[in-house]
Order: sequence, then structure tokens, then C-alpha cells
Amino acid sequence: MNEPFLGAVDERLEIVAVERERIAGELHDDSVQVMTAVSLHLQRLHARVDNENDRALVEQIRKMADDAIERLRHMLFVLHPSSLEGDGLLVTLEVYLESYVEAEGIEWTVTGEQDVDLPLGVSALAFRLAREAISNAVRHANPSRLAITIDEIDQHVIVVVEDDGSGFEVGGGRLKAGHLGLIHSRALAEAALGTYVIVSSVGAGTSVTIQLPVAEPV
Amino acid sequence: METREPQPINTAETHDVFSVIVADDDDNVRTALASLLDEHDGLHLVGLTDSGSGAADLCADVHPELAVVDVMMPAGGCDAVAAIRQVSPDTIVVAYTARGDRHTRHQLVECGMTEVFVKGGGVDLSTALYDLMQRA
Repeated sequence: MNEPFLGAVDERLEIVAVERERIAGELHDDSVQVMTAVSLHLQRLHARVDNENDRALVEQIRKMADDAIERLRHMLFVLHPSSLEGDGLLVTLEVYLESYVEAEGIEWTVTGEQDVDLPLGVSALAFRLAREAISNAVRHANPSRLAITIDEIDQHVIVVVEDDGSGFEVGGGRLKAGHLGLIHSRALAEAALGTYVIVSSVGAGTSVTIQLPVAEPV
Repeated sequence: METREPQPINTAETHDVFSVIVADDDDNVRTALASLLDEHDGLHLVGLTDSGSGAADLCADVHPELAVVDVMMPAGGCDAVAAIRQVSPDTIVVAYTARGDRHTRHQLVECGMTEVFVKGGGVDLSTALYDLMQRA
């Protein structure tokens, strides 16, 4: 593959990642902090209210504020997980699965190499595509297990997301039914000179293989 | 950085009162957290600041029994614990953070945080901190 061209793609991915990071940073520094302060003030108010009904109401509002913080936190994570730069792709996927998949009662594993040296743009796109594949499995396939593997081979990062869920006919119902997320994911991978391959059949689970080139040595 | 006059604490007639500082770089959170903790009968706010280095300076001055520190602030998190340990080794340091996953908790506890509290985590924070200090 043409190295200068691949370098330009990496640069473009980096710009996208940095922009998503900037938006996430502003959300964290602004909305999350304000809602945290609201939640803390409601704890103060709760301690001052004598009437039982009023106390219950304050507690209800506080829970709503905490829910809003949790939703903002999820949005931040989807936009740009802060763990990506310091801890790498593998740990970031573990954090995602722990935070947003474990509660569904789904067992999960992440295996592979530590990857803290991946260029930010590549690791951000790999996370985004893997997260979408995981989210699709959870929402549509009713799996009991998810297995994610990460490899770095010949200046490519390869992420495989496998589930033991209901599966579907590739190119059939699920795609035709308007699951644009899969088409969009494939387009994103190909725009980065990578591939996004789905193997699935009804009743036999699904495997999504994301392969992205890396200009710099991995 | 702001300090307050020390109050008599842990007298025989009253229950334990623990001195505490708050370090968070967001004005709204710092003010709300400081007020919440100071209003608890068992906690007494002795200082607040907006950085980890400020927290270490406060600890060197007033040697609080408890320091509640933000993680995503200048010199926050593990840097703050290390700096506080140098000047006030008996101060119990807890994290108040937006990230509560196992990996983050493990990192923070490994570097010396006694406990990790998550922003918006649904915990009655002042009571939880007081209970923690009584157990310590």
C-alpha cells in the first residue's frame, strides 16, 4: 500500500478523533459538572427538608439528575473515551463492556495485545466500529456471550467481535430492513482503507472482523 | 486556595468530627461539594482548592484527616495522592471522579486512594465519607 497516501488517511482519522475529543471534553467540562453540582445541592436540600413527601420528591429529582449524568457519561464514552489515549483500545473495550453490556447479563471476554502505541485516529475508529458491532449484537441478536479479540499483524490492527446470538442472513433481512449502521460501519472502514467483514447465519451467531491499516509501525 | 480556622474536634462529649479538604477544578462542583460536606455534623471543612498541587499545599498547612480530590484536574488523581503523601502521610485521600470502571478504580486504589466515589453515582456522599472515616 502507498505509505504517503496511508499517512494522509491516518492524519484525517486523527483530525476526526481530535474533534470528537474536543466535543467530549466540552461536554465533560460543562454539562457533566453542572449536573454533578445540581446532584450535590439536591443532597444538601434533602437533608434540610422535614416533610416526608417533599423529601421523597427531592430524592426523585436527585435520581433524575444522576440519570442525566450517567447518560452524558455514556455520550462522552461514545464520542471519545478518555481511556483511549492512556490505556489503549483493549482496556477501552473492556471498560465499555463492563459499563454498558455486563448489566444485560451477557458474558464477555477481550483478548489480544496491549495497544497503547496505536495512532489515536486508528484506535478511535477501531473502537467506534467495534462498539457499533457490540451494540448491534446486544440490541438485535440476544447473545449470551461476546468474545472480542485484538491483533496487530503486518501493520494492520484487526478487531473481531463474535457473538453467539440469533444471527442473520448477511445481505438479507437485517440489512434490507434498514440496519444502516452496518452499511455505515463498512463505509467508515473502507474510507480508512480498511475492511469490515460480517459472517453470520440464522441461529449460528455473528462474527464481525474489522481490519484497519496503520501507517506507523504498530 | 482557601483555608478555614480549625475547630475543636473529637472531643469526649461529641461524636467524631473529621477535618476535610476539597479539591476540584470546577467552581460549581467544588462549592457544592464543600457545602454538602461542611453541613454534615461529622465533617468539618478546613480548605478548598482547584488543583492537586493546591491540595498538597493545603495538606501541608492544615493536615486534614480527609482529602476529597478530583481526578481530571491539573495534578489530580494519582499525582495528587503522591504529593499529599509527601506532606501529610496520615491524611486519607479519596477520589471523586467521573470514571468508575474497574480499571480506573484499580489504578486509583493502587496509587493510594482509600476509596473511589463516582460523580452522579447515587451515593449519599457526606454520609458515605463520614462512615468511611469512622471505619478508618
